[in-house]
Amino acid sequence: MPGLGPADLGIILLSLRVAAVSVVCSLPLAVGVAYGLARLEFPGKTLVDAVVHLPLVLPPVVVGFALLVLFGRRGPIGGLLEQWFGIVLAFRWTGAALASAIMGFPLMIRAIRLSIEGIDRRLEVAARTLGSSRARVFASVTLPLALPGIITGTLLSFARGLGEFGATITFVSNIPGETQTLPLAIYTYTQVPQGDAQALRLSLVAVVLSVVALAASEWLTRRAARRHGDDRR
Amino acid sequence: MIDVDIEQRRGRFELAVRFSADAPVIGLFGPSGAGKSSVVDAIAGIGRPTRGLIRINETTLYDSARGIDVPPERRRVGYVFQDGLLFPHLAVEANLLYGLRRRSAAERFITPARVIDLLGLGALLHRTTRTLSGGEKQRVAIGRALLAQPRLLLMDEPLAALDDPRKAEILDYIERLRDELRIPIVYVSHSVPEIARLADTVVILAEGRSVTIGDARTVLGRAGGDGIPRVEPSFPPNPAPRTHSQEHATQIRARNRFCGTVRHVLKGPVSTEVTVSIAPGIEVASVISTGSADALGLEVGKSAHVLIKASSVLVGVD
Repeated sequence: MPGLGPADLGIILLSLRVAAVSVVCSLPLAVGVAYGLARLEFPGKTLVDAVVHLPLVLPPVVVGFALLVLFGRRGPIGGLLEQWFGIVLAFRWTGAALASAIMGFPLMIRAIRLSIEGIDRRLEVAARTLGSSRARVFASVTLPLALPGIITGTLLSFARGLGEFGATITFVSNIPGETQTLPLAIYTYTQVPQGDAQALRLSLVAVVLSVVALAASEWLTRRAARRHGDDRR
Repeated sequence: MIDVDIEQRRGRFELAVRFSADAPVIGLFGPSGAGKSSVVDAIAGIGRPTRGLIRINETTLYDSARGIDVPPERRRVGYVFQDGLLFPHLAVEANLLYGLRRRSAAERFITPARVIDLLGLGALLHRTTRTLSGGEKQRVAIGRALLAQPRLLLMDEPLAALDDPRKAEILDYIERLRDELRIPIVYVSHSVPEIARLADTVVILAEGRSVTIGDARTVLGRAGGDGIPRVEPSFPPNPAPRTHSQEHATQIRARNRFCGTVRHVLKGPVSTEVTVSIAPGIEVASVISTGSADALGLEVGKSAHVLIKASSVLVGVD
């Protein structure tokens, strides 16, 4: 089997960039939402919970279509973004990152929320009596103790982003060099004559990347758990 | 000096507690469910009363009338929890220093070296909290609370999770810090020996109310009664106050048995305090389970037999 060409390398790098940007941008929001769902009581909590989990159950094409309607250049949000900040997401790699972020969001939220819920709230109370404000308690107790969940959530979402297809192709199409990520490239190769070898090569790359991401998640989570004196893992 | 006058409603449970005390150790005593933890939570600022006033040495921490509710992090009230609650992601040393880092130079009056020496923590500093025994955890928890430079230390059943030898050990340490540091302690317990050993002033709670406050020996002898509390020192066998004899329950002799009249019954959800007058001016207070109290049909005015196990007697002389 011949090696990977420069075009293939470009596809791999684009995929990694899309997935990385999507998790980096969605992580702070995910931590905030997960904390809210785990610790706070507010009206509409059930609705937020449902909306956040929607991408998990909806056909990805529907999510992509919704993004197109909302974030397209004539969409209510996309139009404003372009007018105010000059940001265009439709048919750009940044749009692919948005699609990945949304599809990976439920996975991220679930992992982080579970680990926050597993923290003894009285530890946070103890920290308050020792002189920490709510914000400081969050930074010095909640966040470090939730670290295993944050790592797991991030890498799950990253792996999900690498594999994202339906929402991406619907929202930002399949533009080589701009929005053609690994799954889209594989799909394209399968549609052309003699493309099977290429498709197979890229598929193997996808397998390797996913396995590495999952292994890294497992390893980092164990390490964090050990540092926290947690014997359960 | 600590002034507490608070009311709190939580569901059907009503708390109305009022006491003022100026003592190195104030014992908060009462059956479980009496509201002891609600009181210390309110003092620490982690449970909010419906209305009232909490003041330590003229510093107002809570005053519903004036709209004052100092957040827990600025109350400087140390809290030692039943199970320590050490931070699992920090080593012992980082746990100890957690609160210290958050106090300004002007607020600091106890150094880490002092606390480490006082509680014998030197050998534990680099251990992880997971490897500590129950007693060690509790010592670290006390040290951590002290290093947060508290003006008052709350201890909520700090020995409840420990076995007897550990209890004795931690009691020694608490006695030491009572005698060597000038930090008032509010010590919550339902154990008479613990309170008797540590506390100078005792507040007795029952069903959400402060029923008695006073000098530890007097109050514990009386336990809710209003007569002169006295178990005559001449009664045989005559254990010295706070000592334990090895006498077995089956060896109860006729002389340890008295007949008297029930004077007070103070029912809690779990345990009940019964005061029986066995002779003019002599009352014996006893804590039994509420189930037993119901089974025996103990009511004020009824006659009852009092069997005394010498090892459990606490003598209170006015």
